[in-house]
Amino acid sequence: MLEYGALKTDIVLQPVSGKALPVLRGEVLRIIQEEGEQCVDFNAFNLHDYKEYLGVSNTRSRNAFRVKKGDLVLSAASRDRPMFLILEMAETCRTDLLGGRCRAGLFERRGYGLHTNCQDTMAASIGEYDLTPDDVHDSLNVWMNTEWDSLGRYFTIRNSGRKGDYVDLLAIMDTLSVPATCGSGDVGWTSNFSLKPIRVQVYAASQETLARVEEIERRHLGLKAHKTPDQFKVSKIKTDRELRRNPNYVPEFVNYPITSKPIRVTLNGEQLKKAKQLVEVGFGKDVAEVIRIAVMLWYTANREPTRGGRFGLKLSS
Amino acid sequence: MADSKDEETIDVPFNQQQYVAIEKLRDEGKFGQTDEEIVRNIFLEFLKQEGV
Repeated sequence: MLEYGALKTDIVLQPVSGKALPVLRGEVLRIIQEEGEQCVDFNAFNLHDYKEYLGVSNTRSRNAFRVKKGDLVLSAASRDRPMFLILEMAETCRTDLLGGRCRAGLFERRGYGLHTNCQDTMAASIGEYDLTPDDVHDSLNVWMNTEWDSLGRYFTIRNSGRKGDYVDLLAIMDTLSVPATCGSGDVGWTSNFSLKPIRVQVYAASQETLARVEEIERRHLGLKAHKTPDQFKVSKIKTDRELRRNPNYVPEFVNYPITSKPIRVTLNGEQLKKAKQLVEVGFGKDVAEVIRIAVMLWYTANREPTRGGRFGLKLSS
Repeated sequence: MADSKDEETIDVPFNQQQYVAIEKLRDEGKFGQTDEEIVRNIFLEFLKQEGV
């Protein structure tokens, strides 16, 4: 375990409350189960540019439906940069990147009237920094034990968090971090039908945490894809709400238009026979497509740094 | 051994984004220099890797 700096912040968030906290590059945010079995919703923003915020779908597609210790939490496209490294995570902590965040309408439709919910809790928390309810985004849900079935149906099962369990998030950039005690858990398994407090701590950066940040920056920053607002074709943030068409606007699509060029390949009889067998098993609709898919799959598996592995082809006997 | 009369020549289309991979493989120098050599050799590597 890394050695952290001094404890800077130590607060208890009462049920159905949240707090927007600056957590700077190299600092560690610790979220602790004060009593256990409480779901925590988490939002985060780049402290210097709130338009860069935690990207649930980016994080999901990079890692899995659930994140775990050692995973990177990314900002949303268009930025797609590491925001946090999950340094520590209790084994009882199941995370969720599917549920988004609960909102008042969910409960009103179920007949509960105005019920506590994470959308409103987050909005109340980030208001301290002049952010609006529209700035709340889907949450990284911590201690939210969700499952899904083969039809894609999604449901929550018993919260497995225990008193004292914690999750440590290392900030890779200066962030406004917003943990909130989920407000849905008194009417579901999200928090086992009761609402409990959580404890939140922030530890100062240390040489070790900063070294880890630098290592992540070396490995994961510097892609052309990491665009900054000064590179945006439209970079000014709209200040009015009405949408109006700009008749002078000309879109610039990436690599547009897509064009193909044929590469002429000669196969001998044996090679051709194998290619045709692959057509027969549905690998491609003709020999040309079979060859192209094979080349791209081979490249993906053998030359792309984050991929690998065989495709697992089976020809009919 | 396959007879040359069994040979067949196929036009395999690659778009400009896929072609980046072929250029990178050319830079490696291991799979040939021409587009055709690279595509055929990688196709054969794929078959070998997949046990086809």
